[in-house]
Amino acid sequence: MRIRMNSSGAVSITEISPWEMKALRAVPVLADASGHEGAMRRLFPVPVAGEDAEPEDEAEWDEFVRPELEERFAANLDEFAAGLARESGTPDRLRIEPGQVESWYLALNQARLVMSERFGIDTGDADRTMELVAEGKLETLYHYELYTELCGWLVYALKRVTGM
Amino acid sequence: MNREEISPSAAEAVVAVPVRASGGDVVTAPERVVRPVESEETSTEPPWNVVIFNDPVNLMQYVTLVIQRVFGYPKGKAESMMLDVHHKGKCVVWSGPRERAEYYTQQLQSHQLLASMQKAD
Repeated sequence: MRIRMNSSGAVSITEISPWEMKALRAVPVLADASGHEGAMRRLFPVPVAGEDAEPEDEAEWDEFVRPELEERFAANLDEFAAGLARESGTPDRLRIEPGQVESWYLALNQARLVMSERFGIDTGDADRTMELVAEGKLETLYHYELYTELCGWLVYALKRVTGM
Repeated sequence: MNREEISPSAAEAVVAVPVRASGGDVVTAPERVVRPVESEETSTEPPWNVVIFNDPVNLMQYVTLVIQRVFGYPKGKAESMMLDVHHKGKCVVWSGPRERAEYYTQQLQSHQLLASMQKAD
């Protein structure tokens, strides 16, 4: 995989291997937190932390704010999937336009957040990583590392897109 | 009491932000954005803190970028806050009225940061 970025923040990814493309197509599935309490809690943190939290705080947040968050996260994944589908005629290359960079970042990051909760991935913890290898979770780790690498590039692209 | 207060009308400002034209050139267009703006109003309500907590997933540069975008802070201040999150486990990134704190918390959560509000001491 080769990644290039132009001055406007557009990202071109070429020489994508079949394994890498398979990993990218797995993003929407791996970003799905349904059925996993910890992953859902990470995507939708409590509005008020600590002893000041009241039950009605969370109920109101869930009613009025959470649907907007769910909608935004779903839109990110839809845009990511649409971007992959657009390039289906050239399966070894992708182009991410400046206006799509943030959605791509957030789709990949959502997958990382959910995977971290589901599988206990913490790349800063070498012992845990070795445990995952011993458990046969190599492909999961591979996906996670690929998404992290891409997120690193997309942050730079996002800086260019936003002028920050 | 040294507290920053936000009034809804003062919190909105029209600023020029770069946007990309169809030909790929960068042009500058006015856009209405919400920024923390100090007001002379005072409130009897206790202030709320907006807190970002550390997590092992979000990239440090991304956290800095989000703080800059949401609060309009300069890069140095945003980086300093990000480092506090990373080293101390959390950082208060804004304090003020509850309604505004809710808005900022929602913005941070929509960027997938681990953020919540806490009543200020």
